[in-house]
Amino acid sequence: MNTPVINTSPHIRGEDRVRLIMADVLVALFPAVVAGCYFFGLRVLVLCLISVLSCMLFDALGAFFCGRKFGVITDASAAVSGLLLALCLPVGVPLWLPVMGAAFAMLIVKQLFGGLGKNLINPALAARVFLTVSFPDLMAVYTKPFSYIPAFAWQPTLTDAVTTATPLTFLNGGSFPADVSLMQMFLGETAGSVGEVSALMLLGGGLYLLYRRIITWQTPTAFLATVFLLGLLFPAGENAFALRWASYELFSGGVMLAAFFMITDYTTAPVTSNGRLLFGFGCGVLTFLIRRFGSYPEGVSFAVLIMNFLSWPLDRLTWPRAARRKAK
Amino acid sequence: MTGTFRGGIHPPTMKQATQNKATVVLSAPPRLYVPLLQHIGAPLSAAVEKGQRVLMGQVIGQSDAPLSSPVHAPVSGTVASVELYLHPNGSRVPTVIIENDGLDEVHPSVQPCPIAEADMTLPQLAELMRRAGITGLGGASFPAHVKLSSAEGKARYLLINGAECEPYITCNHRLMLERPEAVLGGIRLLKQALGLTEALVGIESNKLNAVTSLNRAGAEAMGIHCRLLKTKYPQGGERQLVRALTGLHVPDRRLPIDVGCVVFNVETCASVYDAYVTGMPLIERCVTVSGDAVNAPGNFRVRLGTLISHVAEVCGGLSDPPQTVLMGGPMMGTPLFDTSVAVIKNTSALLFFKQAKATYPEDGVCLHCGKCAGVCPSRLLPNYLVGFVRSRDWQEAEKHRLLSCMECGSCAYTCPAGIPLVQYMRLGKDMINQEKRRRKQG
Ligand code: SF4
Ligand code: SF4
Repeated sequence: MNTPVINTSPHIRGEDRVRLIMADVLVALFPAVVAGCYFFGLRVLVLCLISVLSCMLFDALGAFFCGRKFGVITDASAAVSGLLLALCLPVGVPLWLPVMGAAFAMLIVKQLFGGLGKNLINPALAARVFLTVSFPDLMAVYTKPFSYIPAFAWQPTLTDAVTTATPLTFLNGGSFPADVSLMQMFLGETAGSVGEVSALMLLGGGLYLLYRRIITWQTPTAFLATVFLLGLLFPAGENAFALRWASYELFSGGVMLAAFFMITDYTTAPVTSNGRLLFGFGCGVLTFLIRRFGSYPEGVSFAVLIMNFLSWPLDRLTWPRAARRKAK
Repeated sequence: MTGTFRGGIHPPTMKQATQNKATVVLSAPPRLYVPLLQHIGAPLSAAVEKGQRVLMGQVIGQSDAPLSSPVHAPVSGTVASVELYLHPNGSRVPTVIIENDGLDEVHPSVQPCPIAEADMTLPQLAELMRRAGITGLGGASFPAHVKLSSAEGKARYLLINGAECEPYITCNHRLMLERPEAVLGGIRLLKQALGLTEALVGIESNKLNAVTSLNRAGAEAMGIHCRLLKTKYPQGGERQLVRALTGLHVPDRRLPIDVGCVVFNVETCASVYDAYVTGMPLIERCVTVSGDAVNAPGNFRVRLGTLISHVAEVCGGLSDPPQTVLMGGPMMGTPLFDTSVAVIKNTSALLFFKQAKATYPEDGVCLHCGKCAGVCPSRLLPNYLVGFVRSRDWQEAEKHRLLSCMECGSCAYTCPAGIPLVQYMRLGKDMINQEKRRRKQG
């Protein structure tokens, strides 16, 4: 007998490893990146690269200073955060903005709270909110699709000719967006954050993640259904075409990106299936409330961050009970 | 519709290597090492002495304790010694070492049971099973007569476990194919004793031909219904089987009998039948020999007390020196650090691997992905329980039902971060139980 290896059971292990999961998420985001490039030009790619690289850098730096190990695994998760952050930005932001966001996301939100798997709130969304609050002028300027901005312009000057309001601004005001059909919303031919515009591509990526069993159906379904139903039941203004209104709500802003990539983030969501349903539901309700009554047109980021704090209480609340007698 | 339970995992079954290999009878080795501990319960004392001649089927170890099961001489020959010898569990236990004379002379006590099948009462069958030393052959080796007796007057369902959900193992599958009449005969006896008219056999859907085999041998006509179960680990766990076959939940800290179910493994049934028909006690069993270091994987009938090294040798030898040797399946089996231990009553498989298959990285960080919670058949949240165990918060751990962990290992199998979850669960369970014992004493 060789030098025996005495492990306790189980003596076999499954295939999926953290790195592969993260790789799958990156793959699933790819269509959204392509759509972003199509509508807003190659600058999208530049923003993504800057954001991803700075997230990986800051993550490693933070881990180093906190005396934690870092390696490919943590890198992969930082890359996902980086990509998500870039996808939340308008295309016209200066190139240093994602770097700021990455520093906040990785150093403060992630590493200060204990690193991979320990952060309370979603780093990408937290960074987005941080940037929205700190640089409101930069984060609120959206350009029209196909009005390409030079890819490497450090701090582009945006003329009135290229900027426009997002559909959300209209929705917030109680009216349907001018000149943007539902189909355009669905495909992504509208103003918005670079990775959020194309509901179609995000849906594709989300279905891929579901198929690969990276995410479970509970969170996205509960979230999307809640947003849709609340839009249907309580449309703003006097919109008799409620079904159409609800669809606009669904395809606008960060709803689709959040549904499949933000609220399904492992670390900041509950683990029980009922907890996940409630989590998605809560995100949906808060999104609706903030959109309708808040001063920001977009409510998704705040909604998700608030719910992030509730993920442990939700797990507690939905802790699986012991099987009861004869329950069937 | 295939029955199933909630949670569980789908490891590669790896059964192709042996599922079509007919069971081969392995001739008894020149020397047998029969440990006097092959069941859950009280230890046995030797009933024979050094130098004494023993006959096949003779009792060589017994105990008066109710929770015990005697062991018998697997061959005829001379007792070379009764001494402490290495047990598969790693400790040294009293062992009867028998020099085989090769004659297989049967002890006069081995006689067919005179009671007609239709007159068999539960105490009679329980006594027959006790004397034959029959224990749960599926894995736990719980004395089967105790289980049967405890079911008296309470059993509403007789469930037979032919799930065989552990990867690699095919000995039950082969048994159902090759000796359906023995399996059915045993089930009939148990059914009769329990006063039930029907029995359900649970078989995983990857063993369709086992269902055909049992049905062809007349299962339906005997009131024995084969039910297909989803191929999923741990389908053969008692609670999971009860759930899949009857839809009943066995509550935490309760036994299947508390919901009116009694579960026996198919091989246990076959040995009940053998003991009834020939009177021969449990002295041999089916063992699957497999793994990537084995030249000729297969299924073998092995006398209890045969050394593992001997089994490996006579069934074709090993292609490489193995790094991991397992007794039982890869999910719940026992690792061996020495192959000079004997096959015992619950040895369902011997697996030889060139290399250790599962490794756990030291720096695994929980991502909170919830996959472990999704697969846990006991509906625990292993990721949080690990936290309680790490912070030594036994109270919290117990409150959150750590003791209901069946140690199936599904969580550790699944965890993408490679956290040895079930290992933490075991530690936690040990600590809670120790704490309890201390409180009881103090
Ligand atoms: S916690 Fe226990 S019962 Fe649950 S999957 Fe892990 S080992 Fe199995
Ligand atoms: S499967 Fe592993 S990484 Fe995922 S929650 Fe459980 S312990 Fe954490």
